[in-house]
Amino acid sequence: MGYKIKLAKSGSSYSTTDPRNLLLDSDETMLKFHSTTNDSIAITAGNTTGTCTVNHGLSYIPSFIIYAYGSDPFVQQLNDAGAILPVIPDVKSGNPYINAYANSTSVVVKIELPSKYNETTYTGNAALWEDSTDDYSIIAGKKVSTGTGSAVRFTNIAIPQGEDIVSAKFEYKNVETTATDDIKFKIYGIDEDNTASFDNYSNVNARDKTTEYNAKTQAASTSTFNFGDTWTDIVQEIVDREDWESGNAMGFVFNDNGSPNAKVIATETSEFDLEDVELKIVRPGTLTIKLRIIIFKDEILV
Amino acid sequence: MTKVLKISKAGKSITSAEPRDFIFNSEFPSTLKIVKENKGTLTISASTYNTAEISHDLDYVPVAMIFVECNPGSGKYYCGIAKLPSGDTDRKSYVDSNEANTYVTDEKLYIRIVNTQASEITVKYYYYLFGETAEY
Repeated sequence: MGYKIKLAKSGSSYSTTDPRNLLLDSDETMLKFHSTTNDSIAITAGNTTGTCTVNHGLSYIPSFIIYAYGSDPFVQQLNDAGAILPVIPDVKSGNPYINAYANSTSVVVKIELPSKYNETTYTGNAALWEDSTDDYSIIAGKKVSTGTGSAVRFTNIAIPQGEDIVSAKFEYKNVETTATDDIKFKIYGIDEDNTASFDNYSNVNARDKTTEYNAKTQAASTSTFNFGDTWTDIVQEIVDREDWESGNAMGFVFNDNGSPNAKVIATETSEFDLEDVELKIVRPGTLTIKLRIIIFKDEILV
Repeated sequence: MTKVLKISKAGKSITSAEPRDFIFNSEFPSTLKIVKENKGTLTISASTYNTAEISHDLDYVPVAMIFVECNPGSGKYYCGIAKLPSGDTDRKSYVDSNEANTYVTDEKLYIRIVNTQASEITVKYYYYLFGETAEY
């Protein structure tokens, strides 16, 4: 004969059929604690993902729960997104993803941020071209005698003076080139603490330029593309200026560097939008998301 | 006289006031008892979704846990709402996180799984229903 143990809550009968009225019922198992682990996921600047693996040594797939916590705004977003598993709210668009799985050896927690950690995207505040018609605005190359350069400006750059940035990447979207020949040009920063609004290309091109520059060779392309370049050293030189202040503006100049005549990279004037000019700057730092991983001895019977 | 049943962990006093020191203590309002647990499979046509409807006779909305093998055959069982990002290699399927699609009532547990593949897949899942109400 088998024996059973039931312990009813105060005021309830042990013969109740409602499990909520019982504190203990030998017919109903309870999750049995196997281990609890405090760990964390560190996502360094410029990265979007991180994982944490906890080996459980059970040789079968166990049930588990995890909690993510911390004061960083990203962690608060995780909570908004339902990071406290296994709670079931909707995952909000633009919030980080957090997922966790168990297999027969470990529990793995994965976090993916919606954008690179500590990356800020600045869109253009102004763009100037030495030669611009109703059809095309020449970014770089050599149209004939003019049409040899352009400039772009970004405002409210939030970097403290002298901070070592992780990266700065530029993109000029939806540009085109003339056919057959390479286009050669150099890109400089404007070597000023807070470069002023643009008036005309000649005046802007006459401003002091950074020592750092990028010499570029752009192959001819028969289709529209996005021109991208890494400007980390150029931006760093501007930020390192003694009187640079967070929130200032910075500018960049494209100069021809020996392109053949009538070979240019350009943007279609009627289609141009300052939103197509982007500077993505990654500042240093590490996002640490604390985790508590609780593993039960109860098997997921697969 | 009220009778109390306590089982303390090894090395801990039965008179401890610290809840974490006990394996069981009838002075606490309840325990998380598993009243139903089972596995299941859900076959989902290409690029669409299907919903597992798991009936229970509890007559209350229970606390629930679910685990889903989003990548069939991977042996990885994701906990809770596994809404995997688009670049995740296990995102052969994912759990629909909309509370209108994956939820529990006093009659059923609903798990909606979305197939991201261009062919039919069969996804395994596992669930627990507890002897505590999730309603508030």
